[in-house]
Amino acid sequence: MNPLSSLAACQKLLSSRADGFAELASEALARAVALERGEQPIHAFLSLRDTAPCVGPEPSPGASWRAGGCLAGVPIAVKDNICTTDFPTTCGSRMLQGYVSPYSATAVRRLEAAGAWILGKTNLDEFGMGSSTEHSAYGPTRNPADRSRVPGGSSGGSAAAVAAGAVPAALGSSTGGSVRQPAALCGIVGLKPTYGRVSRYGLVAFASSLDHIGVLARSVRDAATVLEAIAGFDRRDATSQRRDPPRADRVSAAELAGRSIGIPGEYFGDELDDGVRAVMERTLGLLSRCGARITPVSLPSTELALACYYVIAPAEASSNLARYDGVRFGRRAPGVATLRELYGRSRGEGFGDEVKRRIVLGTHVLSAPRYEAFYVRALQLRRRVGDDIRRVLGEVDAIFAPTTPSPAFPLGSRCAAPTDMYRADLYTVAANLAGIPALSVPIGDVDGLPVGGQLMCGAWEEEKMCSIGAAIERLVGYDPPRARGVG
Amino acid sequence: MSRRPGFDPEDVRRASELASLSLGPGELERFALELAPLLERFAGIEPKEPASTGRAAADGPDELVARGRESRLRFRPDRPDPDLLRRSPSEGAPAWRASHFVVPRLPAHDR
Repeated sequence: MNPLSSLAACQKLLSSRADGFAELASEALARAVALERGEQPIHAFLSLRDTAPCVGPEPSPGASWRAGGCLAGVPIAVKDNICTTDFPTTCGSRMLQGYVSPYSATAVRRLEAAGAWILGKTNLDEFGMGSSTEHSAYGPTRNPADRSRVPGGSSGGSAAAVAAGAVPAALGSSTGGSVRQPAALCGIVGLKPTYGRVSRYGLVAFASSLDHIGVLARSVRDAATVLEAIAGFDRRDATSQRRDPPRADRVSAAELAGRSIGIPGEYFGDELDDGVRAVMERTLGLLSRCGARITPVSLPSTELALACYYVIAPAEASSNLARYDGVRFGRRAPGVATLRELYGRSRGEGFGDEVKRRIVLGTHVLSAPRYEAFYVRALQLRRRVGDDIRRVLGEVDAIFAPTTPSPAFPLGSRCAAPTDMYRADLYTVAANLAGIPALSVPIGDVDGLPVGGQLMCGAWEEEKMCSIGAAIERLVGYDPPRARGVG
Repeated sequence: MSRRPGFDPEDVRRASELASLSLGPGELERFALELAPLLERFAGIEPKEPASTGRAAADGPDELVARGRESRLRFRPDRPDPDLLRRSPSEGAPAWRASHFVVPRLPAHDR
């Protein structure tokens, strides 16, 4: 049995042997290194610890694994757009190659305070912009379930590392679905909390009104445990809220009977793959047999959500990424004659295609004659998306829908048509626009390719959402496909 | 049906200039082709519920773009900053009077 398959398995090993931590860390490192080898490496990590600690290591500064925090001694991976002092933070970009942050993100410091051991930093679409982890300057990540396919994105490295069994949990970030979507395509759990629940201090900004830090794990309970460790007010993030962290021990898979589950018809249109539809219908049948009240609901703004997301997110990105000019931050182009050329070439050479596309788009929609037509209008549509969701959540306990329109697609198949790639976010962007918590749970597969079901609940209802998610997880009993060739 | 706001290589060139982003050969045309459908899709969203979402949501894209040109909002000049290296350092220095800096006038003072 892989001791890294769950937090409970880690804790079992740690408590059973005096050198348990060293053994667990060595195992994690060996598995992570194995993901980088072979003809078709999964390439989940961009940087790793050089060595596992010897027997009886001193914990890293701030760590308390010896003191028995809830993640004591557990190896955790962190997406490479979350700042750490022990590793570079590249954001998957040439622009930040070799950059080491002078501080660690609040979420990372809280993980370490809970005793976690940060194993390494995971691959991502450049600055979090993408849905396949193909837009990394350091090469794509492959899906552990089928190496010819994408793991989803942008937290594809974190999802692959967890799915392949190198770590029991990882941090990701979500701006439009970048935690749930890769979790669904890799057959694991992805949890995006309420906006303001987890501090973004130290998360490299993409679109600040949409950015969240989330958790990827192999079970809802494990995701909730990690969320509890990283959640809570932080004065360094102005959007952080004074709320008690959701408690993992209140997550109970016991009760589905009597729960009203809203099923939005708009998520079951022509866009939905037949195989995913069949898996969803089977799951709804199981929920119904358990006494859950399946209620058809309508979210008419579903299509609007994607359209307004692709105005708001690039607009904010064009502003947030202005700092990467070769002077304040980032790679500096050599041999330039003027300051304008320095800025232009440093940015043109440092950013990849997808980032450049979004900067152009964002700058265009913020330019004076387009500002009201696009940006202001998108903000108004965003309000309508949130109103729709809140209206439905006033009538049901949770909304349940597919996480993605299709299972993992082949590598390279959507790179030539970016707008096709953007459709992968169709079902996930609404929760980011509304700031509500959302959870993807594996519910089956289509020809071996995992499928996720997505739960959305009202703001600050993570405990209820995770309880329903855990009940679905137990009901479905899905066993994620073991990563081929990595054990 | 209102005309859709277009997005062509000239728009890409202008946006990239505003964003201080050098683009390579072919990128102007390619980005215009790739992004035009996205903007058209957004512009094609039919306005709904004007009472609850405000005037801008009720207007079509043409009206909004036209209105943007005569906006009530005060925008900065929509052009790239001049190349700082071509200006003498004293141009950007604050003025002095009686051993004190002179606080520059703010746009609000001009209203």
